[in-house]
Amino acid sequence: MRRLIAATAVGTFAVAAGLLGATAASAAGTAEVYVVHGIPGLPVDIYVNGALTLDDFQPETVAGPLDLPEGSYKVDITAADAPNASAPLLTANADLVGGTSVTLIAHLTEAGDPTITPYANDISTISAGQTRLVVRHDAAAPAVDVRAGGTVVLAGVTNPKEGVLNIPAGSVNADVVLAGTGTVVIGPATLDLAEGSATFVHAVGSAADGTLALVSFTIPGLHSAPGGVPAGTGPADSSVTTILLVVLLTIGATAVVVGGRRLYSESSR
Amino acid sequence: MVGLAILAAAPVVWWVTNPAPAGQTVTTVNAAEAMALTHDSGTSPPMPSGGTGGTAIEQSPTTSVASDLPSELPSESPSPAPALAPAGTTESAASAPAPASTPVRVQIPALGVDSSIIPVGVDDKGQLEIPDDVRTVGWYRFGPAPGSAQGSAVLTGHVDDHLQGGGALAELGSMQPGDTVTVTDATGVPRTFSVLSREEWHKGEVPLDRLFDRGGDPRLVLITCGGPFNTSTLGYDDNIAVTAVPTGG
Repeated sequence: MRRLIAATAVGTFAVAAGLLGATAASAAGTAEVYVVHGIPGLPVDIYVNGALTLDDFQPETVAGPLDLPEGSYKVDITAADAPNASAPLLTANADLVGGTSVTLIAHLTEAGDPTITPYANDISTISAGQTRLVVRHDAAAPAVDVRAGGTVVLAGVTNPKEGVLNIPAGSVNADVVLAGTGTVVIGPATLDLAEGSATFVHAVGSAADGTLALVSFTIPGLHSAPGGVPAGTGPADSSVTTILLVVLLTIGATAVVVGGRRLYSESSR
Repeated sequence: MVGLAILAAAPVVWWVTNPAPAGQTVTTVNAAEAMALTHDSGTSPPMPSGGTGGTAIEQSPTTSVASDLPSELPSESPSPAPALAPAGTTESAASAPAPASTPVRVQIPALGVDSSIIPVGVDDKGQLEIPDDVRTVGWYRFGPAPGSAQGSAVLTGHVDDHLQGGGALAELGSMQPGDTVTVTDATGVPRTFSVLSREEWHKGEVPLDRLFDRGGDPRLVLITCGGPFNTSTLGYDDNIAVTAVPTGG
């Protein structure tokens, strides 16, 4: 708590989702923004361009999606009981690009200092039968491995990096361990990962304070159709046909051979 | 002489007695009406995005620019995500209506079909999985169930199989507008649909996005193979699909 009050962190960032190739179809001109509160024990208010946007925003919760016109925004985070945004705890500037989906998360760095990190949400189309799982390390904790069913699926993830998995849809029993070890620090938890949806999981909190937790949200509607319908493997092979064929060929060939021998023996007299 | 005649007759007999491929060739009926059932409503399509790499965006300075904004931005109530709880499927934006129950039986009086339905997904090539038993009909389990308030519920089955013979949907192409299809779900509720359209396409031209659309008007699509059988690919050249709409009965 003391760290938080002392550190009026000022961060600026350009959410570079546009550089990753948002298509020309972003003529829609709005971006969708999810806001995640990953700082334990501190309800906050969030102001966007001076306007109170999220009031009494609780830790370990997600707000959004907010649909905002593309452009530049100033985001101020204050304590929940602050009268206005004149003394923010955290401030950031964001450039939002139309047609993109973005997460802004207030969280602790590996060293335990409060900060805001932007992520571009991968909302590209998902293949039929599959789901997308994105795991982000936003906790005051060292490097971790993410495991599914006990097998490491993302190795050595550090704060504030993320890993993206496109996998068959279904239920996953997931946990988070200290990198290269079997020491579980979060979980296990059962994640029901729906087909055609993307699930964004944020590991937040502080290992030292024992407040590690997962905060998640899901974006549905990213599905695609199967690639085809292979509904027929041909007419049945009929044993009757085969037998008839063999019999006729045998009789026919025998008759030809016998007839031929007779001709030969007659002509050779 | 007799022997030669028999030898010559053999291939003819083979050709005559060999079972014919079950693929039908049909005239298209009411394709435009079927297309109209899809529209950009309901769940909004996802905004295209370039996707992310493995790393978070680096911080970099930005010039601040005054932009036109409404004086009050929408504030959504936060959706709680308790620690260690399943991520679940928190719906953003429009919430889907309660899904109809899993279908278990389909009856098509015009074809004499009364088959059980099993849920199917996607095979390892990303194509629709088809039940191995040709007498069983599959329901695409990632799409809506028959009876859902929106979207296309897809049923499928082999037109035939080289070991089993003709399938439940072998005569699908014979269906006419107005024929009925009744699907019963796992709770015993029957729902009747009336055929609207019948279409056939070469496999490379099948409008899969439209047939598997999860939005738009509620409808039932039955799809199987058709057209000529291709002996080099051991598959049929075409797909045949019938689209049916709820009768409210």
